[in-house]
Amino acid sequence: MELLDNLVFGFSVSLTLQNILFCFLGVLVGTLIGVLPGIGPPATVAMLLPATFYLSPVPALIMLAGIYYGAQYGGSTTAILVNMPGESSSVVTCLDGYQMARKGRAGAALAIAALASLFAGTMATLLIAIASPPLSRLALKFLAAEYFSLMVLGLVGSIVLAHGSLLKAVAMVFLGLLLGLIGTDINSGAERFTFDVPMLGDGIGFVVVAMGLFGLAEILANLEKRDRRQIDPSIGTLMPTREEFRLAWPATLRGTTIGAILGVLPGGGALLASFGAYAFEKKISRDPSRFGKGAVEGVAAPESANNAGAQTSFIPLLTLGIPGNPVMALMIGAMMIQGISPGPQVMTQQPELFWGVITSMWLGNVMLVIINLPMIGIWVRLLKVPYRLLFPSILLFCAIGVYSLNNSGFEVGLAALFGLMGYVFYKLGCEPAPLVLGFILGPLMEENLRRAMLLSHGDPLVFVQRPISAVLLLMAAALLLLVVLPVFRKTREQAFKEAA
Amino acid sequence: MHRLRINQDFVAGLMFAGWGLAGLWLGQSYPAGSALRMGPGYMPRLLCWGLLILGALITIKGIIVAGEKVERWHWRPLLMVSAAVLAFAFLLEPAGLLVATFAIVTIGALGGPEFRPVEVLFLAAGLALGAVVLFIYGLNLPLAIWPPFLV
Amino acid sequence: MAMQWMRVAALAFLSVFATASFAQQYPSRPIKILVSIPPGGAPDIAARLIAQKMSESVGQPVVIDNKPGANGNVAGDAMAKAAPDGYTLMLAGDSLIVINPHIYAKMPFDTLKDVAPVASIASNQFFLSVNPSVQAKTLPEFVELAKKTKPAIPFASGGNGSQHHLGMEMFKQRAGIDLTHVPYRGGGPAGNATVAGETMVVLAGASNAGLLRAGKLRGLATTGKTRSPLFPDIPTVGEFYPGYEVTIWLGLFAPAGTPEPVLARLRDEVNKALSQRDLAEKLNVTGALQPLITTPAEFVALIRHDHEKYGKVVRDVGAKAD
Repeated sequence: MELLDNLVFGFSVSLTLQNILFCFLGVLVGTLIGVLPGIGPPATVAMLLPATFYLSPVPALIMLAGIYYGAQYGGSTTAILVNMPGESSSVVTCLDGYQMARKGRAGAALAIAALASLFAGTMATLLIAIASPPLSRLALKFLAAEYFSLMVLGLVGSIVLAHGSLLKAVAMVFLGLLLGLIGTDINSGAERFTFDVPMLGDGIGFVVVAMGLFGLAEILANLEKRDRRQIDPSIGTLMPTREEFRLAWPATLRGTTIGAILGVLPGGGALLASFGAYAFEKKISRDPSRFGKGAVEGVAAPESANNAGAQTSFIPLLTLGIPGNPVMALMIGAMMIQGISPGPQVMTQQPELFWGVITSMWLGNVMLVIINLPMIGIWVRLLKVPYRLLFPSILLFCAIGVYSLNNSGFEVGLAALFGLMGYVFYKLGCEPAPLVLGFILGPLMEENLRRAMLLSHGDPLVFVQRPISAVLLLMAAALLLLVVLPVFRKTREQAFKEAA
Repeated sequence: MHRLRINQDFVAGLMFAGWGLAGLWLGQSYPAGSALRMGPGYMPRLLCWGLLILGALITIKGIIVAGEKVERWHWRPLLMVSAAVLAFAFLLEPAGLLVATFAIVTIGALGGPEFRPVEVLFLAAGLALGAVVLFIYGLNLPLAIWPPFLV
Repeated sequence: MAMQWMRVAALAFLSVFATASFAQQYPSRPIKILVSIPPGGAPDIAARLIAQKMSESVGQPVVIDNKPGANGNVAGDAMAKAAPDGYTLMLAGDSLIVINPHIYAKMPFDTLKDVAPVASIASNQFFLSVNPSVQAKTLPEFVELAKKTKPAIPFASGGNGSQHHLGMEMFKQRAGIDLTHVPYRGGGPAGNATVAGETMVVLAGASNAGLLRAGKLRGLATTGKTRSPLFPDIPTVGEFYPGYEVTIWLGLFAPAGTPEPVLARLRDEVNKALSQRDLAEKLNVTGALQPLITTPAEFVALIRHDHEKYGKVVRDVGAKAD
């Protein structure tokens, strides 16, 4: 049993007192910083990176990994409590998590998120141990055409996110795609819609958009309701009910699967994980109208997907040296500073690092639950703080969080602009989630489309000739039909009723 | 029956179409290329036309189907919260974290339903202290505490 | 606007003191080094390593302030407009100083006039490598293959107008071959695409060293003046095409107008740090970087030379970002 040997070897590294300590420290600090609104995993890891310079490689990476998923979990906490996604993957957690909190089920939502994450983390760790080499080959199978088709599938899926008007959701996706094009065009080097502002040269950061559209707009919406508090201050039971468990458990299983697979794909894969898992749950649910109003599956699925994806995104990093997302790019920096050049040779030449870090992830996930379950009570009590005191504090952390991404005051101002836009959308009944997904996927989609066309010498058939790409496009088409057909029927009925 | 209804869909449709028009106007100089060899202007144009068409459809839907009304705008929170964040953005680097924190907290609080000056001052002081300890001493963010021109 | 006025006020205020007290007292407060890329990349790590050494020897904290954006123009602009007092510096790669002015129609600042070079820090070279399935085992074989292959073999670069791109264009001119340019977001993704077989050739730096070492890419040549100490078996392009050289470097810069004694002090500190062995070793791992210690005159000459060299390539290729 090579697998068992490897895991035992890994635990012999990660279970030393020193490494347990650093793992715990990473998870704890990651959670505490990540829980501040506006400060997601990339910002947290970047801020704490220098702290690991003085450690030796194994504890340094164990601690950084701990910070990473600690911050990820912390980010979900703010998504649930105050509707502030700290990073792309917690956008969908906002949709139902925050609604649960408004119904006084914040404790349950946080507990479900923690437990779903633990389950997903455990499964993903096992998967990494068993299937790293074949999965890393999958990552290499994804070329421009496959990425384009995956993005198309993701965009069609994003329409499922909306629970209101389909037309408006599609328009929001388009607007998101358009906003995503701001910045330097990767293929031609031309700058688009930048108004000669150098700060716009690399486009608008995701966190800026998410903070504005979700966080600031939410504050504005709350403030106009005066003292009619948005959130049910009665805490209720902190633990999920039996019924909630029954609903959450299969959703977690599905979310884990989707997240683990998509997490392996560098660039965009992990982004899609939580969106994909959410859209899938909504599609197979008997009563999709519950989603967006506090459905437990809407928390369990994306949370498990995002944790599974966070773990499996280490596969391309550790086996190929390919960073799948900005946090992984920071990890490469951390490895280099420790004198390790990341790449396929890490697994064979430094097995203690590879297996030590992987087993520590499981350990970290257990610690995360142990740390966080008792803290749920404290987080929920935070909601009892009068809103007139809470919202200026949120504003401040939000602004510092945005600033800390690129140390740029300009981006803080930009977030204010997106807050204004978010308020307009709120007034017009347009949901921001599809826009955000379009915003994230747009540049990737265009980049890969044009690259694929360049490589195929202008032959569009490349998208259907390559099998993986063809399957993805077929899935997108099928999903589109599923989404559009019932709506057409409904609108017609509505129109008839009007006329009558 | 067919009088103009100012509902959410009607306005939203106009807004989307407006984005489309603005995008087309701003992006008119970007070379479009062809479907086989796309230039930097290809996708923007495609998306803007899409927005125009979708916007028109949504507006038409707003006219023929009675939708939800646009609720009244609340200017005070909107102005104050935006001003607070902008003040923070402009003050942080030239005037340091303390000044910027006081600005965002007090201006922001003005947007709230009730403004209690003493309470807000205490809140701002507490948050400023916390922010300095956490972000400058704890996380080493490269920020000045006091206005740099005073030290 | 407010920021601009504050800056002007602060500048005026500071310039009164600048001449009098600075030279003896410098540094009397923390020094800030702006870095043009986000945390984690090779220049950022180099900056942090240098900052650590410097703060030990000058007795003041040296803080890293990452200001990424527009190929370094954001950081460069912020530094160029800062008070020239030696407390705001910038660590940047050569591309900001010698390539951006050629590809940006509207530069927010003049990279030669508004920027005072402090010291060169490290240099590095690119690897020209192919996917292992490519028939060519040597550079001449590859040139032969490229001449025969229609349509042209695709090559990966780190972006339009990047050094990878321009370096390859220079090689194409010298070798008289045609290759299709496929831009990626940085040298890392470009290398990955070549491993996956999406593109067949790639010209990139340290980010590809791991892939070369693991045999996922086959190195045909390096672009430096001499062979890379990491891969002594790989010849340089110059061995086949004399005079061809693409050396990339990192330097420390200050706003123009910084007093000469301050620049000299900083230069001493940097050179002192660079001559320590442990720093050299760490720089080597972070990006196959070799410490580059030059005299001020040499550094200025290097900047002028590269500025002209890339200006010519950009004009020939027509790369532009406006």
